[in-house]
Amino acid sequence: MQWERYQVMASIKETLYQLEEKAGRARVVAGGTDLLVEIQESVAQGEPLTLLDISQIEEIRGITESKGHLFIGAATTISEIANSPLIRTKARALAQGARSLGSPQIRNVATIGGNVVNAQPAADTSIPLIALGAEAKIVSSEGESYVPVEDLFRGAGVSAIDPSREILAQFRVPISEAPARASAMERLARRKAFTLPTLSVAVWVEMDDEEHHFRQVRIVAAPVGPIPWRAKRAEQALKNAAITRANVSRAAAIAREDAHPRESLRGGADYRKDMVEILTRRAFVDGLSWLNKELYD
Amino acid sequence: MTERSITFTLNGFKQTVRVPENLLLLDLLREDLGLTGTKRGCGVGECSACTVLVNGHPVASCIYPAVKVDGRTVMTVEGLARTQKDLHPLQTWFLKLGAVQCGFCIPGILLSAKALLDRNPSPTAEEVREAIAGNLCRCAGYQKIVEAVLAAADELRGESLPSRKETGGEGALGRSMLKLDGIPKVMGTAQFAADLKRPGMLFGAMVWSPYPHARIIAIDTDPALSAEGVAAVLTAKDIPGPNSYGTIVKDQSFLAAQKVRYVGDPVAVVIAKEENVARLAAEKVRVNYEVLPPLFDPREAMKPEASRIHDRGNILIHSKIRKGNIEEGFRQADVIVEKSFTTQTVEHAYMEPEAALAFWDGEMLVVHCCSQGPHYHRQEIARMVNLPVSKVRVIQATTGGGFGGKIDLSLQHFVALGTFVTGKPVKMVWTREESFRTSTKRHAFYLNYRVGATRQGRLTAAYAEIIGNTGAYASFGPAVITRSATMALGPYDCPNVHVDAYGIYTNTQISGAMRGFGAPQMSPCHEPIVDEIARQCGLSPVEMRRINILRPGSSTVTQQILTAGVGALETLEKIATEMK
Repeated sequence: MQWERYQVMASIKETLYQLEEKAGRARVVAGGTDLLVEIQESVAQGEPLTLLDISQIEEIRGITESKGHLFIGAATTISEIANSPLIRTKARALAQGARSLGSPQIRNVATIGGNVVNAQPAADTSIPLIALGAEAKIVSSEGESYVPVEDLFRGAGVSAIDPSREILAQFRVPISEAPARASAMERLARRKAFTLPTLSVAVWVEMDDEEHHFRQVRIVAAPVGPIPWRAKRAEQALKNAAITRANVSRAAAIAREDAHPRESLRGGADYRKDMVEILTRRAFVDGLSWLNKELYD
Repeated sequence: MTERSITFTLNGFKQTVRVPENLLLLDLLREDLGLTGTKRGCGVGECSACTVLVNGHPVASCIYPAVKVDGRTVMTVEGLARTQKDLHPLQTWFLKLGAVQCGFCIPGILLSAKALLDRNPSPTAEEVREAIAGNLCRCAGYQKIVEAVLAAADELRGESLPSRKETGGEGALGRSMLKLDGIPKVMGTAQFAADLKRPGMLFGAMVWSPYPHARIIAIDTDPALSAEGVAAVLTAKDIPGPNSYGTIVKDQSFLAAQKVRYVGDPVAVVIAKEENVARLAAEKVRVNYEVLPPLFDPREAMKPEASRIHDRGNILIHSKIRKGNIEEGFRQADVIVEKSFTTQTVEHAYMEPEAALAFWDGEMLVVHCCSQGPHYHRQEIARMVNLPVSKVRVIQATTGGGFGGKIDLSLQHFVALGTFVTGKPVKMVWTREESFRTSTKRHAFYLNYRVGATRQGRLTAAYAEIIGNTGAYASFGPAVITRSATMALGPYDCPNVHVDAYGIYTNTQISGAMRGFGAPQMSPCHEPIVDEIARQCGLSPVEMRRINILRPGSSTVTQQILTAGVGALETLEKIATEMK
């Protein structure tokens, strides 16, 4: 199948107008590195499709910091995310994830919004965004709303966002200097570059004011199910817990116990389950080292 | 299709072109603007042979809509140098340091490297590797490419290059030579088969079997023939000569007439005025099949009661080696090790998918194609169209990798038949998926070994059973299987050997020639066995090999007495020294 029309849009307003006018026969595309391949490979013969490319809309591009948040335009490319000093210092796990997505050629074109809306369970920016507690700004002709990124997944490849009606415009990532926070992502794959992960784990930690205890943490692992998976019991185990090797190891073991990954070409179910524990532990060590914090025995 | 006018800067010159909104940048460059230096290796952004720079950034042009370059600048490999005299330092160093082999990935890699050096004039080797991580190469190896990029960076910074001077020697001997067809390859002007064009040329598309094993009841070509723009639909009935071919055993039909034996067995060829017209019409050819139970496992297919894939049975070849007295050998053994192994099917995955162009030059039928065996292809084409060999010319186009996978016929004969029937030039280019689906593979093996040795570590007996999945047709199967049998013990000397190697037909992709030709499957088997015997004898792995390795005077498994030129022991000693 092929698309009939491909329009490079200049504004959100115009895009929403077009979506409404085409009433289901148009859909939003950003970098298109996944979508254009999918459309060409699909055999479905539907009505002629119009693609509205939002990747050059300035108002949804770029990274800024304001009032305790990072704002990331959904049309920001993966390369821009990976190379951004702001992201590298304040949302480090996201920079780590972005750096390992696809190839340089893909990263130069693919966008962070597209990566999330494509809704693959182990997408390299979705995992850290969820760990970081990011929210997505979704606009439609009915208005705009903020939704936790975590709530955007309905199934493997199925997003809560309807690309024939809605636009994911921006991400909002909470950041702060105090209390101290850190994040890290560990990604295991068969090769160092240009390959999908066998397993990824992203963690985010917030320490108490004395920096002896975790205040709260988030642990996200994937692919462990059809949608990104949070190790909630492991997170609970570290709530207000002392920052010690034993506590982190115990939480990692709980994450392993609760994870039920499946067998695929990229890894066995048992292997993936074991790796949940190891990557979780490594991600904590890496994240805390960023804060010059070592784990006490 | 809705069209739009776009204006962009291409290799320094402003261009305004009208493009359909569904046109991809790669097709705009290659088909409309004739810049064929940019290559299509996969069509889905996975290989980056199609890399061009948009506003200085490498992108995969095969998944990049052409309308997106409106107002931007695009650079292709043709923009690196206008003539041979003004090659970019990247191009000259790729040539000097031997970074160019088949050349298919090179335009994309040069551009990835260009983008890197533009933003970072002094990259580390690691940064070069990161920059070219998306560009797949299958032959030259990345190391020389990395060295060439670093050398070009040095030159661009105006630094002297003492360590990278050409190695010199007297006359031609001992001196690095520039690759004969290297310059066109770094300039993007080398003509691969997909880059060729002829006026009035038609395009071919294949109709493949969707079943692994089925009988053809009827083929209805009418719905395809009646489609606008279709010139011919060729089936077995259109073949003037005998409908059989094969390099060793002629067990394969040019186009299946009675039976299909794997998913991808060619059934018909649609010839039309445009490629997409041919592809759409190919979907309209109706083939009525009686589906037969398939056999996928050679261990099942070789059983006497198994259903027959070919009339003469499922055992293509049984290659036997008998040396000495195997029973006696095992009686002498103090240690006996038994192990079973499996090896997998491997795809060559050359960067260039198959492509060919045929036309009449007077009464000479000419075929330009990617090929590793133009003489063999010529024989088979002449036989197929019933022309004397002297009336068929096969010209090897610049070939983007082969590794054994382009020795067999792939599509050369289909374009030849298309031209023979229509009188017009016919071109065909396969997608990566078609290439994967239909090209030959490395044989997958099931192996059972039993090897005995004395307590001192001297091998006394070796038994091996090798069951190779040769797929639906013979291809080079008999030769590969026989080679495996002769390589069953690798570089080791054993007085008593018994090998049974089988090539078994199954309803899977055809296995054929691939680098090493049956030998690479053997080393992961005999080496761990030698290690295990060493452990049980209390010997070091090196000592165990020293005792048994072939040397001048040794008798191989086929009882050839080796005389000179046996380098195995020398190799072993060098490895042993390196490992200390």
